[in-house]
Amino acid sequence: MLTEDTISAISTPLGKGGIGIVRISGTLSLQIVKRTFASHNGNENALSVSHKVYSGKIIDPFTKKVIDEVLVTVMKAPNSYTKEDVVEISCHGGMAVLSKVLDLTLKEGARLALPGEFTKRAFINGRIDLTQAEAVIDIINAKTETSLFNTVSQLHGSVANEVKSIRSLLVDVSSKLELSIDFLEEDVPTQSLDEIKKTLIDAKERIESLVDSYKSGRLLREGIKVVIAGRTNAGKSSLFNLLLKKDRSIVTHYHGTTRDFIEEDLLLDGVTYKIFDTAGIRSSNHEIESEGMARSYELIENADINLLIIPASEDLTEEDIFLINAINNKNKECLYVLNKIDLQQQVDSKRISEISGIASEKILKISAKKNIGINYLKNRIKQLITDNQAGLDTGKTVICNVRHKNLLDRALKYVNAAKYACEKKASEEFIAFDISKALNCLNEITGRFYSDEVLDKIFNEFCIGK
Amino acid sequence: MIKTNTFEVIVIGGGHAGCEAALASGRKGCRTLLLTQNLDSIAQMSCNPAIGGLAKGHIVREIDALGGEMAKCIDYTGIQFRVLNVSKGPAVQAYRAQADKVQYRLYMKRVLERQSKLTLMQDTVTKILIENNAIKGVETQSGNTYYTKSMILTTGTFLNGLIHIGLTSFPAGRFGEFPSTDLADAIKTLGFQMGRLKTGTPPRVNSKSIDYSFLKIQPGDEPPSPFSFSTKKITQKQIPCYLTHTNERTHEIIKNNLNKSPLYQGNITGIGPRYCPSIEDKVFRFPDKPGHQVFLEPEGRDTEEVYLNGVSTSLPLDVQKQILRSIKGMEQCEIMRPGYAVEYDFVCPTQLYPSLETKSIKGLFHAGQINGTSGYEEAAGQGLIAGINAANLVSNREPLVIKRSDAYIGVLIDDLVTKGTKEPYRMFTSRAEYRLILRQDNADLRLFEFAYKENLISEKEYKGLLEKLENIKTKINWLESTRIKENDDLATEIKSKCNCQIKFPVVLADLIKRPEFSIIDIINNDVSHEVANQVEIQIKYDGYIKRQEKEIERFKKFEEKKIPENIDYYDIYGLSKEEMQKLNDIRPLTFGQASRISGVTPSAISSIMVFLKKVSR
Repeated sequence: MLTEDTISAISTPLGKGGIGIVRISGTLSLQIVKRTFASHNGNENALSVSHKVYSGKIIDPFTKKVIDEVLVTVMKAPNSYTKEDVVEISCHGGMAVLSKVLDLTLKEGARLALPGEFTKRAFINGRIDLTQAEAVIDIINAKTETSLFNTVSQLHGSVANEVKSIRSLLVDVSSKLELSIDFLEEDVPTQSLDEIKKTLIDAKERIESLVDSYKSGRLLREGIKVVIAGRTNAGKSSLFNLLLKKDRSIVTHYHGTTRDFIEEDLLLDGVTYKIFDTAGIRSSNHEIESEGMARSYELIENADINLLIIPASEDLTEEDIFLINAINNKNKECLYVLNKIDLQQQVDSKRISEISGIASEKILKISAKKNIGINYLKNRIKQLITDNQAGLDTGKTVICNVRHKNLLDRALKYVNAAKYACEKKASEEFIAFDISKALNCLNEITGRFYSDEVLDKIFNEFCIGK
Repeated sequence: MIKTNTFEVIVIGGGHAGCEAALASGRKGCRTLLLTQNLDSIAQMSCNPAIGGLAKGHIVREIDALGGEMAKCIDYTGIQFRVLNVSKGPAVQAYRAQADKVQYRLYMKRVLERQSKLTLMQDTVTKILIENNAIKGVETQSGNTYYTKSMILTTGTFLNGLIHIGLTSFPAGRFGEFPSTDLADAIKTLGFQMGRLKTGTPPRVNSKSIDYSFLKIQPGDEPPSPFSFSTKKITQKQIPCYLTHTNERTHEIIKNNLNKSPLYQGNITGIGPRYCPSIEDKVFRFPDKPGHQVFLEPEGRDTEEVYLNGVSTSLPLDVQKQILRSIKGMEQCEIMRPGYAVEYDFVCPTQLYPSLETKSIKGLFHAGQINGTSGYEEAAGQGLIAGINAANLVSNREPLVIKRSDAYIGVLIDDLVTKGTKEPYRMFTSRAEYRLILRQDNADLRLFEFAYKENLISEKEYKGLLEKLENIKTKINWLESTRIKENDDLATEIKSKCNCQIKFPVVLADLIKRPEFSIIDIINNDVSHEVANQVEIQIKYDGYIKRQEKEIERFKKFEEKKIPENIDYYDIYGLSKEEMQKLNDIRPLTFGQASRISGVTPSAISSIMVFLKKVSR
């Protein structure tokens, strides 16, 4: 907020609804979006004209993966809300996609906007009417109070403690580095680069685990994505309807009825699951359906849990085997579900076990039509979430706040840089440089700013005074 | 009568701050008077006989770059020169020299005496004259009145100075010198908020009574590196220092005598520096440490007095003697001057603008220990800036404010005027957030534009520095754009100089980035050593340097954005009572400064921005 940098945020209310906007404001905004945007018609000059809407895709420049189809609106300074260069990216892939697009803009050099910051800039740059001035202050103060509240209480107590504890590790390393720089002639213990590196690795792993926990934090906030996958007519929609106890998907015995996907929330023991019914996979030349299938693959890829439905009543097909392999390779949580066990069985769990390598007793047997094995399936889903690192057990430290996650990501980057400097046997001041940057990031989470902390620690712990 | 007693600038005090202040003012063409209680203690080194060290050495180089005298003086009078931290990166290497104390002050006195426009006068100030909240002049003990519109106070440890040796205490500025009590009262009447600090000094012993034969010798560097950018070579012979240690027996003696310590008996109320504790403090606070270092530092060429660095104490003289005689090599030592503690008043520096002018009295500047600092270098740096700005005030020029990203002097002054200090403030490199850029090697390049603008370096020196800058740029460009192949002449030459694996073709700059390469392997002697050194540092540490430069650039607009002086913080919607009060006390000049006041939140900064926008419409 204090600088002339470029800020970015999701500017539509969080929650339901597929469409949302990521807004970026500042001198770098065009540059940032240009690096991640591919225009539909391949136009090199896309985004160059102000107040025009461009359609295209947002692509992660590192993985080259398409994140979403978007509409991008360019509003050049001074004719924008903030009177700076503003770019708005309208996405329609839901919350997860919005977060991803936001994440990309942050990676490309934007800073996460503080509450009320767009409005503040609008005011500072003379966009808003005079009478609104004090309202702006109220927004800033109110929101800052909320985020202050976030840092002390909404922030899981254990998160605060963990961040503080990582912080004190870094303050400790920092004080030892400074000791060896500023007090070289003192008769005090020095720390070897190896010891420093050890502490940095410790800090790094602990920050990483916090960053990872964001995923579970996100799971808690946005719901756990459960994707029902399988070839056509495997009984996916029947299971979907049964889980949600309503007839939303059209259930027929014809192949390929569900052509896109359907999403519904399911609440199990207070945890929200987003259940996706997908288009079945099969070789098809019907265009709409094959696009639906592309969607299915994408959903499988982004799922937290996949339920792979295989009809027991028919022989395994090419598609079944393809899906088993595909999901196995993704290293995703997956439950293999043999459906239609009420009919004559052509496939048994042993067969699937052979192909997938999953113990046959772990393969579930259900009949969606006859409501057999459904409760067990639900229990297995719940169990997966509590057993694995989803972090839903209350004792675990979980990051929920995107601002915190962003700051931890940055801290991690600096700790890694410091570790790298250690490995390169760089002089202490270079290592200290990145550690102090990492500390600044953690300070923004704990809300603690105290410039003489390192010196105080040195004077308290070491006998200085040549 | 009035005419001869009227000066454009008056400097009160002839210590390290006063000297630089008077010289800067005189060099800027102002008719300047320096008043001191004793002309023979001009530039006296009251404590250790050394200049420089980590961060302090950086300041000395900056003073030199800004046309000050300290670096030249120590180059001329030093008896031992060392570069510290040579195994580390260039940003944290620093120069330190042992001084010949007597030579040092004689040299400085001579420079002052010869400075045009500068008058020296021995007298004691008893009264400060103020008119309409502006400085008018001073009255002295000898019954004279001197008039001025611009005055710098550099009082050192003299304001209500009180020396403690054991449970005995007596008023003194330094041992054997009168304190300034009238002046202290005069300052108090001006309404300043004052505080009390304490510092200490170790005993001095006679060298002939020390047995050096088992002590570790500490010689100077050969060849010695000069402080000043203008010193070509240091020719004088160097003298070594020695190292010994206290031991269990020493500590026993100290523990048994704590009841005679003014520090432990509560006689001393002033706050001492934590980085420079007395030996009794060290023993008390770190009882498990079996020994503490004692450096034996000669006080000069023409004296046998030795300074015992590490055993600052305020215990009684007989205990001091017992302590010293328990230390290896000092069994027979004779104390020539006792160690002591001195308490003194300082004026809380948050009452100053970054120009070092007081906010409440126009034309009154404070520099040095009066601002709560410790150290010759910290004092001299402030003196220089105060001198420049006192002169600027006379000629209606904008004050010189050096930013934290420009110099350690900027960090020092910003810390003082924005945060104040609770203990004697000493500079450390860790205080500088832009440490990788504020190096001692580039002090001239960082500051010469300021020096030129302030008329403190000549046209010729300025042109020389411009040329140096240009040469560095050209060389870097060449190295970054030259790709050599295996069969090139240069490749053969490089291979012959360096026994390393090189994958051709290679860009020369990339070679320099490798730790095993030095620039002299690659470039010939077509540039000066200084230029080659800069080129090498800038290429080798390019990544880190660029990151810091980017940071500075990012904060620049915000840092420089001015807050009008007449702003009424109590009128600003959205500020807490505490923030209003703090902002009103400090009255920051820029948003950068405001953001560094402790307890002022980012949303308070937003509130100020919105407020200013509102009133400007």
